[in-house]
Amino acid sequence: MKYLYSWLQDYYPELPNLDQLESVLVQLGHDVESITPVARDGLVVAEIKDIQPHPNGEKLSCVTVDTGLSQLKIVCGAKNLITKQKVVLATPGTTLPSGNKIQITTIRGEQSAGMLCSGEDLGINSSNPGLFILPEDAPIGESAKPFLPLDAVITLDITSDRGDVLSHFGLARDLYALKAKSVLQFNFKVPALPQSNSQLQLDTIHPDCRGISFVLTTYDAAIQTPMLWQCRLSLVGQKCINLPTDLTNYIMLSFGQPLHAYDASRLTSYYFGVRRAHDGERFTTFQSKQLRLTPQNLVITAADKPIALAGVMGSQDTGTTASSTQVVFEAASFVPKSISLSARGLNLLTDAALRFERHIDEDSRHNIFDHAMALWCDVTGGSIVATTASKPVPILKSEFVGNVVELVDYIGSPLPYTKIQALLESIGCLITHTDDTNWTIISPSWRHDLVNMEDYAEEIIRLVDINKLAKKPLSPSVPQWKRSPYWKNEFLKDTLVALGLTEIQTYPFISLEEIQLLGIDQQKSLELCEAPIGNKNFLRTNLTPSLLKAVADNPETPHISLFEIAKVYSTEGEIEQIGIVLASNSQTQIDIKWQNMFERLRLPVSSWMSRIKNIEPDVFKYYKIRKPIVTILEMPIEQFNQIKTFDILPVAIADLDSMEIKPISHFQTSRRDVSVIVSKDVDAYKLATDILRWGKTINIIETSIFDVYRDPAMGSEKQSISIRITFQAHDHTLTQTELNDYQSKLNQYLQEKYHGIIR
Amino acid sequence: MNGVLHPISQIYRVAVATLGDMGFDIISAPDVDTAWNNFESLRLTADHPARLGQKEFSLTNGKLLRTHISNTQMYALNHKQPPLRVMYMGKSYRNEATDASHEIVFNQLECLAIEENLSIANLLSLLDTFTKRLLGQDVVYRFRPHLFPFTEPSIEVDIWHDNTWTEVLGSGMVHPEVLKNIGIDPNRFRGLAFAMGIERLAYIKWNTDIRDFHANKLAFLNQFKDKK
Repeated sequence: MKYLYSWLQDYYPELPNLDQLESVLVQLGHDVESITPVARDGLVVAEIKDIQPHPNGEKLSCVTVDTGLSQLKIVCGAKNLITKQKVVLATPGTTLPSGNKIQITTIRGEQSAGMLCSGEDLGINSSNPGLFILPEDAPIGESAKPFLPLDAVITLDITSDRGDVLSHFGLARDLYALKAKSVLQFNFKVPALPQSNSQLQLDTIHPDCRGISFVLTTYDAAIQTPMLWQCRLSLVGQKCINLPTDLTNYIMLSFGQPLHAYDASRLTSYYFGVRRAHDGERFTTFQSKQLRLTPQNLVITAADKPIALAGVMGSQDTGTTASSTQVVFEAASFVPKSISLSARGLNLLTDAALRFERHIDEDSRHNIFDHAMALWCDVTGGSIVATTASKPVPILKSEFVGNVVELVDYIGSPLPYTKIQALLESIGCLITHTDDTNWTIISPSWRHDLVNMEDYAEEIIRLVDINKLAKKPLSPSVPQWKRSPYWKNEFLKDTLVALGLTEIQTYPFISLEEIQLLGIDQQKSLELCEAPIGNKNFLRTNLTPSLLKAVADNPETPHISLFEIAKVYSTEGEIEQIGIVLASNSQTQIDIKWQNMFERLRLPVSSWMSRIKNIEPDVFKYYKIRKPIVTILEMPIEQFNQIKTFDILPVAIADLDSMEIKPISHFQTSRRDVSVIVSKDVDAYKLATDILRWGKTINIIETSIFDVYRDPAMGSEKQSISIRITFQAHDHTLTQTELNDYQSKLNQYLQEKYHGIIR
Repeated sequence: MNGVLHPISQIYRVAVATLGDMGFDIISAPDVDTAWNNFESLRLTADHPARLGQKEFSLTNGKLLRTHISNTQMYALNHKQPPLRVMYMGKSYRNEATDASHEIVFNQLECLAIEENLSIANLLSLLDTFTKRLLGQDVVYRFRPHLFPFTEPSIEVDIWHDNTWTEVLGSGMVHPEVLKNIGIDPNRFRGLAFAMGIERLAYIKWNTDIRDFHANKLAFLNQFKDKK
């Protein structure tokens, strides 16, 4: 949710400064996603030079201002303009907090080259309705930013147990609790009520609605939403629609109580009810979405016809418009699960539904609704015509009976009981003692997450700053871990690595095609409902498919030796398996490698050679493996460890910090071959290494010598070295132009450093 | 010429050695498990918002691929009766789109201690020791209160990396309901636990694409060779 700093200040004027606020919020467990200053460019200090009445607009003036660079004419509707005043000019191209973009425009026939701003235009909550006045010494033509109050939009990721902070007042209250003084209060206004009223009536209210109130008011659609509200709503990401809707959103974002506004003239009756929807009942949302409801949905009705999806959103045909003359406002409280199921079932988790899902403060609903209606009457000059309310269901208070000694012990820090009491009281808890240490704690109406001792412990650590709490080491214990299979497996891994093999980690998913190709028993294979990748919706029963894929994924490496120790899955259970794959274009090389491995592991070579699988040509084709010989050895690791036991020897623990890792490029490589004639004393491999080191600047990632020869035609002091150069850029595929450029740079390097002659 | 130990194994070893030396035994649980062991027993009920963010891969036999390693908590008593200290590691699976920082298969390490007088102070000390062993004594970190359904209170550990705070560990005191589901009397014993995503730590630490760790490209893996 987005919060405006100055809006929080409405409720908590001495809020911590913006630069301290982030750490305070994090301490309270509210993750800060971003803090974005409201101040914007394009606002300039200007001095009023001349004021003339507008020829065609009674309430308007044509003001000439000096911006240092020039004198501009601005049309302005403010009263009490005085020459020599320093004011804020919004220049063309500037977007104001309300979302309004300033342009050069013509107002009643007179050109206006910008806008002179009031406090409200700038999103500032000021009681002065006129222009925002800057200090006398504000430099003309400079940015007005330094003279405007610091304000920012704070985006927080609120955890799902804290519905109480999903409003500005709620968050201010949580921040205020850190003072450990008292609970933040607010003076809610009360509107004038009509003498008599019986126009609004209530039908049956479903028990899932714990209370509902309706108010009928007058409405003058010509009255605009106050500029301050427009700025604030816009800054926190809420669209402004019309005054009644904007009021409901402003109140919800201020105090957390969702409200709804209906166009009274579009209601067929004032006989309101709340019931479950009928199966298949049709409903068109105010966003024109056509829905078919089920009994899982709760609806608010007028003469039994749905006018709103309770707690979620209103219907299209009862929404307020620019031609409404009377409005019915509604405030309710519902069983959280009911709204949650209803909204999520239709994939319509609106701001209102989210708050109901996370519990609203039922105790404050009436105060907030009263305040909303008083604001409405103030802003519109209108009045309340009629009201009705259901009998509210009694609110259950959560009571915890416990021992504070246990609580302090759970935290493990030496916190005095008086401090614990003060902290809990600052978040609104009511504490009564039966004796010194046995307490009854009643949580406040806005918190629904405080149920047991652990919940209260969490409150304490939020309020005292968890980073300052005591730390106590665990009691010493005899390590047993080196006796576990993990240790044996890790030692085996080290042994294989020393023999030149590389460990891989693969996905365990295979396709039906692979099962058939490799002759795997499909009946024993576990099947997924949805393929995680491509058409691979089975779990492997052995490592072979995964090993083959890894070989295929490394076509550039001529000799591959890989291994994996990982699980394989079947209807009979899961087992840890070891799989080793050797692939090459040389049968001799492979045989030697296997023999070497078995000898080093002190295993009987001939019996182990017979356990090796040679992969068939049709399997090669399927996996697109280009190396002609692929051999695999695999078996359950248990079996391997039984056959070959190792003494408990040390296992290497890496120094993670000493590794310098670069992310690999995923772009295409390019190859160029270079043949160069150099002195016979040049070491070919040193040459290749030199080129590789120097060549980083021209994206050389690999060099390999593929030919060295001498020819009498070259002279007895010379040799020809042929090198394959591989180029790859990190962020794009290299173009021919770039490669040609690199090649000429390389040729130059060889000429200069090695006196080489390029062939 | 030596081959290479996979970077995931390398990270595991430092983590396992740290916890192993503190008396944590190694246990394991199946990757394919019941919804109860993976979700409900850990208070991730069907309508809990946290569960909605953890989409799983289900199997035709009615089970699922675990979305986190915490299902292993339900198997703790197969190892021994409390007091106990166990750690467990392995693969978890999430049904979500992959990108440079999200994978469908990833490794996690979690540890669980169940003893009579555990406190939040014990958890903070354990997190401090572990974070410093894994990331260096000079690591700048902070504790941050958070929310997990299976722990109360819940705490995340952020490290200061690349000019921003990045979450690396999730932890908390095991919720009494979860202790009950494991088969432990919450009036007698308390539990603490913390978990770490191995690929996550690796891609943050080395500023790579998380998918590189399962792509098995030798060009990438060869960078992790033991330089000695």
